[in-house]
Amino acid sequence: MQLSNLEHLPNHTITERLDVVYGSTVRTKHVGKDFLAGLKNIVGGELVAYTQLLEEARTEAVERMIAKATQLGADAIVGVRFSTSNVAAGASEIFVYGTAVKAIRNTPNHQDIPRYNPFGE
Amino acid sequence: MKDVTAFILNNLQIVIAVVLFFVGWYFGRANEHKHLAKLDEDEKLLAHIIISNERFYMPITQTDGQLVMGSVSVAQDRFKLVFADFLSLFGRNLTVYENLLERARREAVVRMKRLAQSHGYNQIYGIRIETSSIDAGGVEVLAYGTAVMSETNPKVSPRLP
Repeated sequence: MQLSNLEHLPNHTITERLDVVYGSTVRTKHVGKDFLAGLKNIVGGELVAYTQLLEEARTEAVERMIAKATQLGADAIVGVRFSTSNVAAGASEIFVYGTAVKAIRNTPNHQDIPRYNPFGE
Repeated sequence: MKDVTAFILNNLQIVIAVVLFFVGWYFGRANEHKHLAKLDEDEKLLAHIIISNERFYMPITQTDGQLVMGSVSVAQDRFKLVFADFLSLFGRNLTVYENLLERARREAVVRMKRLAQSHGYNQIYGIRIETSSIDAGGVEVLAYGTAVMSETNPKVSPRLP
């Protein structure tokens, strides 16, 4: 599954748009790690545990989105966006969404494919 | 001597707050300096990767692209938290938070670039940078974009250590 946060896919031509797909996770921090993060708050610096936690959560959300796109028979997801929100004290939701599309790879002798220009001409 | 001990014990909470304030000031400053020095170094190392946030621009490429992400959460130190409360009395720029956000954004972009570099890409476009706050007093920044191997990128990657 190819992912792109643009309106197109590099080196591909989109042939069909299927549906908007999304994935989300709600996560809280481990109590012990939260305590350590509280200590880190005295001296500043990176909160490695939080970075890892959010990265894992984001990977999971993306995987859920990909599962939905696979069900639709999509080749790729374009226009991917991430958003994070605090839903409860100490818990945050990671939400990711995009458009599932069918796409074909451009062949080397197929350079002059019509490229979509939103500004006209 | 006895008086001093009695004073400390009677005002334990205040004493702890003051101690944490200065501990935060010293280590926070040290951490920030170290981080900024490392950022300068990393940015120089990854300077050959062109980044832009244009969505419709298409670099010339024969290979597929990939979504790359970089994220970081940075805690604010105690000194700056207290100082921010003080500054907000006057409704001016919260300079201490401006610094924190800038550091976090630069770090997120550096991580995104490093991921692109490790996959052999030399250009990232359509970049989005997103910020959210952490309960404990800090920020989380996510940077993401589409990395491609661009044929028109004239910059040569430096030797990696």
